[in-house]
Amino acid sequence: MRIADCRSFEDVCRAYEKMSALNGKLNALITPIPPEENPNGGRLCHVPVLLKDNVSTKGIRTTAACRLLENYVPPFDATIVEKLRAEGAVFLGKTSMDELSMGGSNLTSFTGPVYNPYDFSRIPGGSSGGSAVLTAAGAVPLAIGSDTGDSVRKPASYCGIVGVKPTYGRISRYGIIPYASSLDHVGFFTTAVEDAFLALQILSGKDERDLTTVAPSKHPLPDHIDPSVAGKKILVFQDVLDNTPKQTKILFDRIVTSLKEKGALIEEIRFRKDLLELVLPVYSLIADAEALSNHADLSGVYFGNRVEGTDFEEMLVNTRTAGFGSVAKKRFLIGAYSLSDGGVLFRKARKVRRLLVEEILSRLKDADALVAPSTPKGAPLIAESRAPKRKDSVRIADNHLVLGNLGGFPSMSVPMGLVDDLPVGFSITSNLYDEWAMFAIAKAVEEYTGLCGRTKEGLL
Amino acid sequence: MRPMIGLECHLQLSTDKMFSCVPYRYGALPNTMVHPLDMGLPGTLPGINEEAVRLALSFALFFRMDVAEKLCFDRKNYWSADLPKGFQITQRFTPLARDGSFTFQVPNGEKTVRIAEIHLEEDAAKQILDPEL
Repeated sequence: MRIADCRSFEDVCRAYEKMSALNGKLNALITPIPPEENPNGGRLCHVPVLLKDNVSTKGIRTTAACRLLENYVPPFDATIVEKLRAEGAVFLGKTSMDELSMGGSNLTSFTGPVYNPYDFSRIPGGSSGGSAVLTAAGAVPLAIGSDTGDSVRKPASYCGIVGVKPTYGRISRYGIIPYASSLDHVGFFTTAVEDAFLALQILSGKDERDLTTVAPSKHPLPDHIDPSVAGKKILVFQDVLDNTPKQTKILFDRIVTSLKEKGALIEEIRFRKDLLELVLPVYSLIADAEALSNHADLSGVYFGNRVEGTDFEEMLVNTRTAGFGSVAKKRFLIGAYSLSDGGVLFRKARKVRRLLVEEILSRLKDADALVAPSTPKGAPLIAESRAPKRKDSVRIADNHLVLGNLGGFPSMSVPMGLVDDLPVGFSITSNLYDEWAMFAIAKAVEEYTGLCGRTKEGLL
Repeated sequence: MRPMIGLECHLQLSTDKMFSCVPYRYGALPNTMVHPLDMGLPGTLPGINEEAVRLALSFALFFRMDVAEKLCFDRKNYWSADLPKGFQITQRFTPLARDGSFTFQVPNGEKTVRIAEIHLEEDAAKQILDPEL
């Protein structure tokens, strides 16, 4: 389904019906929004859009899939909501996600699991699973997510769609319920690279309310996609490929060969192994510490589901014990540990983060992109995801996408094809602010695979 | 032995709120000068009140202080009913300015008071606990 397919309010209403029917099987929505006509014209006129439920919508419940926020209604819109609405978009709903964006499975929402449209016994990936599955199932051409440690790009890979995380600071985070402020990025899903490019144009821009946003004048966004990859220097992430199963490698290698045939210069590289092994611990220590601090507002005093107590402290403990799931609690504990003792571990993690980022930057600054399979395989089974094997989680093949968050590098996943009937994605990460190179390569990959606009049909 | 006495003084600056940048008016009706950031609502982000920075810099220059190169803020995380965000934005590690002094006349000569540091922060308003509510 493409943005250009939506031409009238009738199209929007039809999309809403389709979405509601699909939701019966996918459980991807937390709050549906019956469509209302948007008087604004613009580049998204009559286009149905979904919003991850961490995006504040004025007057419409916003829960971040957290029981404590089950009835929280923001009195303001996130900046991106204002931008989308100004271009004519019609919002059809708030989509499910992992609670407070803490997870990669979309199994932790208080509304229950979200199911992968390619196989209902499998996860869609997370944390932006709800937005991913409804885009993959052809309900909408554009859905907003957020990406803190791969939460747009991994579900994009598992659901066979385009998932984009631009450079940190491109898109305002104002109004987005956070996970980790230095790692959070607003991202989005489409079924086509051109549609993703348009979404980036619309969503990005300086926002006075988010001091981390960059001025477009300083780092201009391209106004079209470079149709050629000739002469583009593409680095192949060998450390990831070393741990990639054969079937996925075959798909990946074919694509890289096609890029070479179009004139790209391919180079295999490896990074420092000792640093790569630290990606996940560095991420956890930083993300969970920031999250603990960010969510200290969830106390039940001013808003949220309050559980009473005889004094402030008791109310606080009761409210938070009842209000959070076990994964969120576990991550808060990790965050507390990270910050304990004056924050010794936290500060150490930040130093290692800088070393990791410099390691990647040292090669990326002279190249157009670093590429790898987004995930080694297709989506795992729900049963396996409830208790993931610790061994798997340290492998760089499963975690390389996090590098895009640690460094703020623009990164996207584009469908590669199917392995054992399950989608896998091709990941492209470019230097800071180099969305020009990233999209050019993404377009070339899409042209080779012929998967532009592909959705999973036949679900109803 | 001589006592050494240090004073920590809080000065309210004559300007809008520090991070939500909305007006502050003494005696205004309740809930008429509140920004979502003041409530600690999820997803809000702090701005910087530039006039407050200017006022603080004026103070620093008047007392001949060394001004920091960068304006950095820290979060002091703790739980309190009058702390909506669950943290106070302050300058624990990088105060705006350090090492100033103020010399003044007293009956038997001159005295100099050191100003160790000044920093910008937000402070909660007065909290009134009413068991009737």
